[in-house]
Amino acid sequence: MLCIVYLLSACYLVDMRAKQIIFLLLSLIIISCDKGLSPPIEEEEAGFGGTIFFSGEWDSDVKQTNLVVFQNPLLSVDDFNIFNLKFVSESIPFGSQNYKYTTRTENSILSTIDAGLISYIAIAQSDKDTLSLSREDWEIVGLYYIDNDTTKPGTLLIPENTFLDSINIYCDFNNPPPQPPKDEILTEVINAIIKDKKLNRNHN
Amino acid sequence: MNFKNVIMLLILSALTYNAQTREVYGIVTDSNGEAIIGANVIVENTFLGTATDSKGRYRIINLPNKEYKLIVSVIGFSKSISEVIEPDIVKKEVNFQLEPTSYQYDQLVITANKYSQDLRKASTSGYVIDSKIFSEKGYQKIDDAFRYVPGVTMTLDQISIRGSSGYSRGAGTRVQVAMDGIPIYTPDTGEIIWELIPITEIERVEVLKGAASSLYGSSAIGGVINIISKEITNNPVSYFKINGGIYNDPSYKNWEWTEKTLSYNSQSLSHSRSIGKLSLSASISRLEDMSYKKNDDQLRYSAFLKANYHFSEFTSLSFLGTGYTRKRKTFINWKDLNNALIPSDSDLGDYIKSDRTILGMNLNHIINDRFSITFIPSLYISYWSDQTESSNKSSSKLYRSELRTNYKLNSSLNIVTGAEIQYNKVTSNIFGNRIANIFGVFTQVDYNIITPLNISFGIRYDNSKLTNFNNENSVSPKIGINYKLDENTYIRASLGKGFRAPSLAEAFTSTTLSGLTVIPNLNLKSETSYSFEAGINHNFDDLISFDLALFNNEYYDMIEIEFDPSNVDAFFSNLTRARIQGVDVSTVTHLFSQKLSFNLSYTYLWARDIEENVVLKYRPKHSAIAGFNLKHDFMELGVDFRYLSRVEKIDNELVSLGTVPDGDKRVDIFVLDARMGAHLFKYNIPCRLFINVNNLLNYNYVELIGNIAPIRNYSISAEFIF
Repeated sequence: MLCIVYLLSACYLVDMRAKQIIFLLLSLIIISCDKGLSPPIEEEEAGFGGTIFFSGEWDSDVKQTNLVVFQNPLLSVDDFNIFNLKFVSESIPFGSQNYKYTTRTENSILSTIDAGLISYIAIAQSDKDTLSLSREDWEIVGLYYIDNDTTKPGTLLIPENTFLDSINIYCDFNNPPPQPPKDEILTEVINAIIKDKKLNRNHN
Repeated sequence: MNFKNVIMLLILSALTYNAQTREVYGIVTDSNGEAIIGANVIVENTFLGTATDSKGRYRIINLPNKEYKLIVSVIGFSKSISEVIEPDIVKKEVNFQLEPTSYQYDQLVITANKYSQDLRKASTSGYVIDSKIFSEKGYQKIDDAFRYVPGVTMTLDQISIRGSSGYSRGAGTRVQVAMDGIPIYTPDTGEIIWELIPITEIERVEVLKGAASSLYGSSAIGGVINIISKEITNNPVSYFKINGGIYNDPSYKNWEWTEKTLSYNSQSLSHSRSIGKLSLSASISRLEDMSYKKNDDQLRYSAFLKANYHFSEFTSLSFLGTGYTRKRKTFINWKDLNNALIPSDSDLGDYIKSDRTILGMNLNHIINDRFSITFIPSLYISYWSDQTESSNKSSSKLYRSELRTNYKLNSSLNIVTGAEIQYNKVTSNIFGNRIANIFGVFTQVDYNIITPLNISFGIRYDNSKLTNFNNENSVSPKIGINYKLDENTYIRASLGKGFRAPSLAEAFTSTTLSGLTVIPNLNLKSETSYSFEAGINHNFDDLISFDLALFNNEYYDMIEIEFDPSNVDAFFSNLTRARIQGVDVSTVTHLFSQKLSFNLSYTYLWARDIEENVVLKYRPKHSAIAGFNLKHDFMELGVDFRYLSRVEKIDNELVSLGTVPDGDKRVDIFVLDARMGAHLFKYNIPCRLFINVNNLLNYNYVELIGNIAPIRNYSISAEFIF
């Protein structure tokens, strides 16, 4: 910068011929003001994370607690399909008061989150010893809401290459949210995925 | 008259002659009356001459008994010629007052043809680097200066003049570099070790562009660099220089590899004096560089000695010795672009230890004012070892002698004739135990046919022999003309043949380095070239110097690195029938009595393998240099800028095979250096201070794949002369 100031000062001191040379020199300097080589930009994986807060007494029958994410809202039975389910977390430890989660983890049961609109983020519990996604075995105990608006599930827009944090979810065991409709076909598909994942882990 | 009388008469004649020895003396000053140190004072059309001492004084004795003129020249001032001094004057005082000159070309003499001549009267392009830049620009090595010479590119420490070389990883050179006439390429690898040249001892550097094998033989196929060391002063002079700098943090967090502040520092101490007929100059220096790259730090100690003994006004012997010992960590290439300042894991901890020494002499005898003879023997001793997986080491010696005569028939005809013999012996696990010999004879005639027209013709015969190779013979002729169109305009043209014998490293290297295996090639042949150049030099209004050169170089059997596709081994081979064409344009402007100066140059290079119709590796198509320097009172300010277009072709094999991860990442090069300094001599303080910021824009670029060039660094230097 100091040199550019000197160059500009010199422009006032010298004749036209020199001015042209200084102008050329300045032009060269300006076009070279980027930094040249740089480390490759690592595209950030789209996703989100935050904390799940639990209040109330944990039901002693609960064996599995998971974060589940659906891209489209669960408005009808048809919305239960494998293409709509984007994330199933590992089981949240029983009795937790709060639990930090992230979709950027290798420990999830299912994770295919992409940038875009996420319409349903919930905490589901099951009283089965093994993970079961049979709809009868679940109960939704918490939902992600925007600005405490509990009239509808909160949606989340994830921009490209962006990770959103502080997506916190509150589970009040004494005041569960509305339950989504049931769908047996989806359950079978999810169970197949779980089975496949377990086989892969054992194989590795 | 008997025999005794004859003897007596001869003795009396001799005594009378000595009593009437002609002498000229005086003082050379600038327009302010201040003494000019180191100005060359030459008796026209003879070999007699001297340089001014620290008080600007000179004295020449034993002048020929005839009319003569004195010519005074020094960088930064116009050449001055005295009036004719008549033969009947025995002792005469002739003082000179030189005017600062506005352009470079009228003031410089070069030794392109192994004798001094005006730069503008040479038939090939030349460029002279003044020693003052080594004080002002904070350079640590001489090769840093070449990055700002038009038509010259550096790829790390490998020099290329007008695209003569790509990058051969230290094997061979196509530019002959000599210090005071002593070549300094290594006996084994044939590369130039720039650290052997102490920058504090340089008077000037001459860069001669284009093939010069007709006079200099093998390795001058791309050009010649002559480094002239400083004259030893009559009065005792001591000199101390200290330089220290720090590197900026890298541009990106990913590239930070240490929390330390990375720095470098150097110290040089020298002393020169004359004791009777003996003049001595000695210096020692130390350099420590932590480097901005991991595993790239070095520590170096150097020593330099120059001694002159004047047996008489006609016979002198010079001795030159220079050497260093160095330990330097090994950074071959980056780990990847995300870790650009960290080497490959395999290179971590590796280092090279090297000890190198050059000893040389220059015995010069002026037989008469028209004929002189010079004998230059030298010895280069080199030892190095590394800690790589191959544990390479090499011990080598190069013995060289040159005998040269210079005959100046009259002011129109100058003939240089000589012979050179060279013997290399190498003991190494990487090159094997090898011997190489070169014998050459040469002659060059410079003839001023009519006043404005100079013609030069030279021819050299070389016989070279490498162990396990057949003898190779080469004849390298060259013809050049220079025509003075008017007082301000000179045109020049030259056509010559060049040749280069393969270096021992190119023929015999067998090693594995950083994952790359190099194998010997016993079928390697010498490469040859035909070079043509035409140029014009013009000065406008005594303010602007303009030079334009067009060149065309045809290379046959060009030696380049090749990769075997079956196993990816690298080896040197006669790969290329190459053509390198281009244009050099440069201009220098001086205003306000040199207080403000600008320089601007551009080089276009078209370098192709015309058999494969592909671009040659590591040759930028466009390069440009611009700069200005402003002096005011004792202060000085300067900026230099250089641009090189993105190299079109690299060693793609090294990239595709993962040897150099992200090696294809390269960009155009934009570098801006700035400096500011103070010359305190005016205030009777024997000191010069300079602050430099190199790579001011902190622009990240590579000259060689996988090697980030120096990032922004700040330095301060102080020189004391007492």
